[in-house]
Amino acid sequence: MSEVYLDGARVEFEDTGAGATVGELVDALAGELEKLGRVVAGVEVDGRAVVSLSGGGELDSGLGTCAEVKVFSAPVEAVAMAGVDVVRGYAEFIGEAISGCVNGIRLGTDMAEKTLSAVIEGVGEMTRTLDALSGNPAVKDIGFFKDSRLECYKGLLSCLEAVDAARRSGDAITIADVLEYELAPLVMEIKEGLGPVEPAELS
Amino acid sequence: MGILEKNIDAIRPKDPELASTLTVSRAQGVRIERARTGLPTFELDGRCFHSRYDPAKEAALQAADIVKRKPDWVVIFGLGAGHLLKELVNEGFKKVIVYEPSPEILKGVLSEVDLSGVLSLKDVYLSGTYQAAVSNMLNYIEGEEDLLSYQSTPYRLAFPEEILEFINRVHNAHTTNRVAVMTDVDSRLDWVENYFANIGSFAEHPPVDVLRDMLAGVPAVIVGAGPSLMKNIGYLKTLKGRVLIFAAVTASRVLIKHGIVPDLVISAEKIDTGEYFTDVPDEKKIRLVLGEISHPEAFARDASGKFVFFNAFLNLSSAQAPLWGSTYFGPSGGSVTTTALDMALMFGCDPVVFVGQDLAFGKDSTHADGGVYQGQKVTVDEKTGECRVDWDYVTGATGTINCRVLWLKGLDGRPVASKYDWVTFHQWIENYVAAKKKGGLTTRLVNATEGGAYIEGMEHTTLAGAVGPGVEGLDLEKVFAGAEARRTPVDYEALSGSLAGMLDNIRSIRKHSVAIVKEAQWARRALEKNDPGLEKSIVKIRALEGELFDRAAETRFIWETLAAYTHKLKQYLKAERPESERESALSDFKAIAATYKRVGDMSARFVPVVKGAISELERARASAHTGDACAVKAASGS
Repeated sequence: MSEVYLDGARVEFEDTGAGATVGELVDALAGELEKLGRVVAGVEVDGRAVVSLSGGGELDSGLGTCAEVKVFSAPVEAVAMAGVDVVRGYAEFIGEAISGCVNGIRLGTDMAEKTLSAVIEGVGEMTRTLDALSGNPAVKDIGFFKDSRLECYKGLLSCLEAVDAARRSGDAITIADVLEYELAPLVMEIKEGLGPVEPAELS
Repeated sequence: MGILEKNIDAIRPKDPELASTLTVSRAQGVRIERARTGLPTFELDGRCFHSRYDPAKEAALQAADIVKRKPDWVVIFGLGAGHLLKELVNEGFKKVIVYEPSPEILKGVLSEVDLSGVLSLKDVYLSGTYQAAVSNMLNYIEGEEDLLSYQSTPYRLAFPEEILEFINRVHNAHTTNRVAVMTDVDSRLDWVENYFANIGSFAEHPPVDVLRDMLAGVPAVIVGAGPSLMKNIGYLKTLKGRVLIFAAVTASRVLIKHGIVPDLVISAEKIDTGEYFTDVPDEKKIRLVLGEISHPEAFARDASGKFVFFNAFLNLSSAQAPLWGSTYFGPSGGSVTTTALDMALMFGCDPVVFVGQDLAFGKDSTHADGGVYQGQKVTVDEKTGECRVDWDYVTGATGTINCRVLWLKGLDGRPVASKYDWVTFHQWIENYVAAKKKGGLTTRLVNATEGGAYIEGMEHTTLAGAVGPGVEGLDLEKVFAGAEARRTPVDYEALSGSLAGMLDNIRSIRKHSVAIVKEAQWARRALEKNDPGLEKSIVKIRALEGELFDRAAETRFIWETLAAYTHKLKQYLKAERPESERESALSDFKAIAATYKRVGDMSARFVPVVKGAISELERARASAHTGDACAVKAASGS
């Protein structure tokens, strides 16, 4: 029988379904935590951290097969702010990658293609993070989520489509133009829409 | 005046052909659009060639990237809408050769974008063909100068094959320039010395001009010693007496070994190359065509006859060839076969056919069997671009040559490995053929080598396909004898005056050089001691230099003999030295003293040489008079 801990305190539970998984346990705890304004921030199964909390992997393991499950929680606001910080990091990275890629295209260096892939992957990751954050009540008052999220998504999508079309037709200058004059301002807009970095977050 | 006309006017002085092509062109130009900043841009085949937002900013980025690499010249593949060219000029960089591969872009851009300002600049050249671009490179870029070849991304994507070929040609042309400089530097002194030593021979043997139009319609086969010569040797043997067999000296030995006596053998080697001959009796039937700069031993060789040709690149020859009765200057593409090609046309031959002109490495050799290279092993490393050639020479010497591989288009379109000297010849032949055709030449020019490099502009077929069975009843001996008899008389009086003037000038140059050296040494010491007489000394140096230059202008060969030293001096002047103004002036005085010491030494060296030439000329003159007298006597006796 597994031993379950929440933020270091042992939790008594009953496996009514006889054969419940770690994921089902985490979901049940998340439901309880939500009422307290907290969310599940991390899980360890037999001393190993669970990489993804969105399903699969160790979360599919039967509770009966684990000796110990530790669940960690955090306030909803803290998780949201960490997510916002990640998006800012992506925005910073994408801005630099765009600059490198555009120069590479305009000067004809071999690095342009690699950097373009990094830009596209960066935009994908940023969009996914923004999407995950959008359901978090703690971000509902942030300008970006309140006013411009859908417009920005549309803009990002339109840029990626334009880049893809130009890529297929071998039109490098259009790729550079879209990146420099359309995508880069949009990413900057998203970054600014997320508000200034709070001193506390910087620490 | 419209924009196109303005641009054409700016182009015309440097490239009249491009100007007239543009004037009559009915090509549909690309449609010029306006970027957000209002500047021109365009699309070709769905691909944008400049930023639709800010083309000037884009060009500034490219220009900065170019300028920071500090080239002397930039060769740009692709004019585009001219933004990069303008930006380079704005940055103060004004030595640019632009090649635009697309007539549509050229027409569209020049019709809508006023580039007349930049195109009028002295060192900005626009070309619409590879040949014109390469020709501009060869004409205006010195071998010592650094060159950057540049192409923007849209051009790379739109013209991938053309760019490869262009880069290859740019690389080859620049290699050619560098090699030409070094050959010139290394050879000038020998050439001048040989010229003076050959004075007696110029009097004795007629210039090659005597054969002008004497072989109208006779096929000429110009024989090089490339590995593929063996493919043609059998058929060539059947053509003896039916065509003019005009061999490079390197191929003569191969032909003799296979029982073919060439009619003419051309050579212009500055050193003694007796090993090119085998001394078999048949060789005495050959007539030699010798450059005036050839080693005197070549003129001493026992042959059926000799013709002399003069080269315009030697000041001595330019000045004196007409006095020897020659108005023909053999253009030199670096190889005697290139000169032979022009001579064959001067003779009136048709067709003119190359064999053994591989201009590329054979499978495992550089030359045909039976020549001066007895054994050869060629190793080409395609990855590193290095080539190693191990050889056994006919004299018993062995050696290894390591060189960079350059690539030429082969007969089947695939690249063939070559090296700098062959590439030089190849480039020259292609430019020569293009120029001749442009000039309306109708003679068939055929490359029947059946191997090696493809030569643009020449017909490629077999030797049999080119000349068939040759000409029945061709009596070349009669032609040669008739030609020899029609020599223009030598102007001994003028030659004598010319040489005496040279002697006087070089004595004066020597005197002035010695004075400049002394003055420069004094000026250096004066600068070190802050002597107020320095300024006066500098004025004196300038005055002496002025007098010396006046004398040297009349005796230019003295500069030619100093080519190696002036090359070093140029490099000295070009080098950036982290010196103060005072240190720099001290170095300059040292360089001036060293330079004029060389000029003085060289002048001293040539005083006895020119005196010897004058004596030789007088002997030849006396002998000619004796010959005339004998002829008169014989005539009156009969």
